[in-house]
Amino acid sequence: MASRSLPSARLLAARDVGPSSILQPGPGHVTVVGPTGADQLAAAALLRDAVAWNRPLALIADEPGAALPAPPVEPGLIFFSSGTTGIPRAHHRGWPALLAEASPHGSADDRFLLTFNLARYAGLQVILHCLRHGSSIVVPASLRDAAAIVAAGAEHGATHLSVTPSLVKRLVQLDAPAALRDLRQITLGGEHASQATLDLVRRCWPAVRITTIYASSEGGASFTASDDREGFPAAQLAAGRDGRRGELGHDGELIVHLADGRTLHTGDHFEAAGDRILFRGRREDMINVGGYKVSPARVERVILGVAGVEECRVIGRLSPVLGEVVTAEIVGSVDMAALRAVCRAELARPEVPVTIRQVESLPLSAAQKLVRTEAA
Amino acid sequence: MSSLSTILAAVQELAPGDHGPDTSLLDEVGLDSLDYATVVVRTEDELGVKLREEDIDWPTVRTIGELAAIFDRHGVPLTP
Repeated sequence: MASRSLPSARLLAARDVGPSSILQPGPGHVTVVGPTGADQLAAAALLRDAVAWNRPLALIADEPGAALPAPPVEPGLIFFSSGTTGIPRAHHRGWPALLAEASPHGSADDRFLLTFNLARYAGLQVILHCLRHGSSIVVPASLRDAAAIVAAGAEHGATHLSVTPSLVKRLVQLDAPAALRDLRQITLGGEHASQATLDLVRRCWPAVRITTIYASSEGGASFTASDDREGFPAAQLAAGRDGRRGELGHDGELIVHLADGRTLHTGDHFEAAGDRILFRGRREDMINVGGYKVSPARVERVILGVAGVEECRVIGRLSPVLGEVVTAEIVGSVDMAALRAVCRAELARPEVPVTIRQVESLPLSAAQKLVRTEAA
Repeated sequence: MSSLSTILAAVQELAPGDHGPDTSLLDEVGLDSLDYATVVVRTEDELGVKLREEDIDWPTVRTIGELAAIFDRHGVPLTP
C-alpha cells in the first residue's frame, strides 16, 4: 500500500510552460515522460507524486534506442545516463536510495533554480533534494535559454543554483550576479570545474557557498568540495560515502566499489596532486596524438591560466598524419603570441595545440555541457 | 592563395629558410611528425579543405610541391 511519507516540493513556474498532454501510461504501470524539455513542470510534478505515492516512474529523454526494462518494476526510478555518445543506458534505483543521496542539509525556505533537465541525473538531484526538505523549485520557461533561467531566478528570488561550469559562465554574461543576488549556494557539477571558473564565480558572488561535485548516474555522488579549490580532497577517495569507496586505477581511471558489491569503472580519469585529486578527462575525451594520450583538461588548465582567457575548449581534430592533433578555441582578449609561448613552455610537445582560434562563444550541448566533439 | 604558397608560408613559420617546391620536408627542413601535422592542419584551415588519410600515400609525399599536389588532388571542402 502506498503511503505519503515525504513532504511535497512546491513548484514555481516562471510562466505557463505549455500543455501537459505529453504524459502517457507506459508498460508495467510505469509512467513515461517525454520528449526532453517539452514540459519540465509536468515532469517535476510527476516526480513529486511518484515519490510521495511510492510508484515506479520512468523518465525518458529524447534518445532513440532507449528501452524500458520489462515489468514488473520495483517502486523507484528508471532513468538514462546522459550518454553524449552511444546508446543510452537504463538505470533503476529505488526511491530510498535516491533520497538518501540528497544532502541532509536543507530547508523549506530554499528556492532551487532549475537549470538541468529533470529527465537527467543532475536534474533529479535537484528535485530529490527539494523533496527531502520540502524546498521550492523555480522552473524557467526554457532550460535552453540562459536569459530565461536568469529571469526566473530573479523573479522568484532563487537561493540555490545547481549548474554546469559552462552554463554559469553564460549566466554571468547575462548579469546574473546582479539578478540573482539572493543566492546562498551554487553547486557546480556535470563537468569539470576549473580553478578559473571557481575564481570567476567567487568574484561574482563573494558571499555565496560554492560546492563542486563529481557524480555519476550509476555511482551517485562520489566527491564534493567547498573550499574554492579545483579538484577534490584525496582523502574522500578511500573514505567513501554511503558504503561506496573509490580508488584510482593504474591509468588514473576512477573505480568505484558500490555498496552492493559491484565495481563501477567510471571512464573518468583523475591525477593525484598533493592532497587533491584533479580531473584529467573522460576516457573518450582523451586526444590520441600518435599514441600519446593528451588530457584536454590539463591543456585547458594551462590556457585558462593565461591573462585574458575567459573560456577555453581543447578538442582533438582528425589528422591524416598523426590520427589526431590538439586544437584549442578560446574566448577572451589575449596576446596570442604570449599564449602560444606559455603553451610551449608548460606543455609537453604533443599537448601543445597546433591551432588556437579566438571565438565569440563555445558550443554547449542540450545538457548545458561543453561540446567536446570536433566541429563539422 | 594557392596550396603551394600556403604550405610554403606554414613551413616558413615553423622553420625559416630558403624553401621551394622541391624542398624535402623531412630531410631538408627537418620537420618531425608533429610539425608535419601542424603544416597540414594550418593548410587545411587556410584553404578550407580537409585531407583524408586514405587519399594520401605518405611515403611518396616528400617535398613541399608533392604535398601541394596532394591538396590539389584530394582536398575535400570543409562543410560550413
